Amino acid sequence: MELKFNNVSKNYGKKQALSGFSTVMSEGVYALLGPNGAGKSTLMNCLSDLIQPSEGNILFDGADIRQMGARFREIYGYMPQSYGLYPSFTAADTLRYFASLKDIKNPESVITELLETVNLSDCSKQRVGGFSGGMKRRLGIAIALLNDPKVLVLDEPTAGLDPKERIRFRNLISEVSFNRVVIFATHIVSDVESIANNVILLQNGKILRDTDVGSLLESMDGKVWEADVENVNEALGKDSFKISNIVKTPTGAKIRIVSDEKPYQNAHLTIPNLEDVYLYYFNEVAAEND
Amino acid sequence: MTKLIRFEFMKVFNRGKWLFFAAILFAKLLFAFLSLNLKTDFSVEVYREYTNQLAGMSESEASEFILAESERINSIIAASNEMEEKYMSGEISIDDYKKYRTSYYDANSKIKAFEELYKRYEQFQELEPKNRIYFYDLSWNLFGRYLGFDFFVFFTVVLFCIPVFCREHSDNVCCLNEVSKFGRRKLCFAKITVCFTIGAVAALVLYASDFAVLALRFGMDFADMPIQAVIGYGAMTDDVTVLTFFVGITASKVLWCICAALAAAAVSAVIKEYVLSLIVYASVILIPLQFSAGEQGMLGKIGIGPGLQGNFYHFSLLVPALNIVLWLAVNYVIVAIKYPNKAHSH
Repeated sequence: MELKFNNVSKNYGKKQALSGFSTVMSEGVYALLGPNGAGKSTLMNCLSDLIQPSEGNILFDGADIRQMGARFREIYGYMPQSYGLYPSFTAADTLRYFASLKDIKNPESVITELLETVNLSDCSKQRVGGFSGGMKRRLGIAIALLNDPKVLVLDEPTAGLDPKERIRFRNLISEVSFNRVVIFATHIVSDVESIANNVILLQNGKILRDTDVGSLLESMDGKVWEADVENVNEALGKDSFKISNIVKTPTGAKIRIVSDEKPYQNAHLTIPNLEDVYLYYFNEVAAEND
Repeated sequence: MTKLIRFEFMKVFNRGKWLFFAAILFAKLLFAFLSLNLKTDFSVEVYREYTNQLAGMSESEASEFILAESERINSIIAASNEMEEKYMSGEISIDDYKKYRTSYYDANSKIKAFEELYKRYEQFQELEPKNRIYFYDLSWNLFGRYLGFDFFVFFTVVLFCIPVFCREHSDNVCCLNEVSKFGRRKLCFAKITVCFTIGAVAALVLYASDFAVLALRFGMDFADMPIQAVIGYGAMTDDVTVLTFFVGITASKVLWCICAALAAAAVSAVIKEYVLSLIVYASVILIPLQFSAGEQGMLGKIGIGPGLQGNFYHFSLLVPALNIVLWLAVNYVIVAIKYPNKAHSH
């Protein structure tokens, strides 16, 4: 199974939302990481055939997904960043409706199983209009999974969820990620660390890095430091490095610094994490949550 | 496809929205009961007596009767002054005068109803002899006058058909639908089918309610008589019975209502926003209505609004049928433009 993005670009007037995006994906979880406006949703809309790329194409096992049309949608599952559901439908009716749209034969057993998977069995007869954001998200992933998709795309799946729901959701994504290409877009670094095997860093519609999580962290070796400082404000005022974390101590503060060079004499190297990566590439502190 | 259509109906009639239709039907029945009244400036009973009298007669016998009755009534009315003078001068006795006054009051009470009958007699002179049949036609005439642009039907189409496409956008469900296997063309065709069905069923039920009220209040006698014999319908060229004519007009209106529903689907599929769709749609339907008085001009012939009036003087189902084909084609083009990769879709 291979999903190939071939020089995909998308322009909105003069603004280039996506620029020459090329990569090849096989089974595994891919995180699209980037700040707002990096082009993540545009890429997903292109993959969903909701918008047409200005240039390039996307191939699934060698076939253009636009040419495949319904044949691609048959093996495709998508949960957009924001979406609505029919408020008067119950959870089970919602899944029945999408099962008919996805041409699922004998859907009842699939629906029962999915409601259990997303922990909504008890609410199957409740109207969706009364669901919380987290419940709607879980129902959204159940909809995406109805046709047992080979390509599963989740756009900001944990956005707007409380920490407990987010953990539940991460686990859910991990559970359903076998034997599929799972792509999820996020600007929440902790999601990536928990779920993804591979990370694509996107900024201004262009790929900054496309690698596995281990390699990405390895690339940061020798660039993340910790140091004890007396005057935090002085450290914050320096442009030569980026501070990813500050912990107050009795004598001042312990700061975590991302820098190509040793920032202080007393600084020592420490193990990098994805937040450091985010800071290094995007020059802003990664979001902990939405 | 059947399942998709079933779910589309679920969306349309969710949360007891069918009660809205029940309410519209109830309001329509109430309106029909209040509106279908024989408010005439003559005695309906006298007119009915005349028509009953004429019912068994041949055409020549009926003509003779009407001319004789005309002569009788006119002479009685015309003699009023003369008889009064004779009575005053003592030429006639009080009993004779009272007898005259009785016949005068009788003639006077009948004259307006007779004038109505006489109009029908005059209308008959233009008809083929086989169509010159007298019967009690006021209920049919009333029904004909009652037929017109039906705001209940229009409101039903607006209420139930415009949201069929708009709802997906307002509820933001499009993105989930469109990434599903049948979420594009097939879903659109399911929606179009739903609009078609709503148009047909709503029109059938609501127009049938008019028939029901008419039958309940005035009876539907003489339905097998020629339509030309009903006052006001002498110009009809089609050789049809009263019932066939009104069923035909109603069938035509049902077809036009299907057109209206398909037009609602097309407008809302393009505009995608309920209020704007409503404004554009109402304009498309109602503006031609204003320019089509008396079925003059092209708009009167091809406009959906005039079609919903059901008052075309030609008895034709062809025009609305062609309109349905036209609007189905418009919907198909909209779907084809929206989903250009359709050739590879299924």
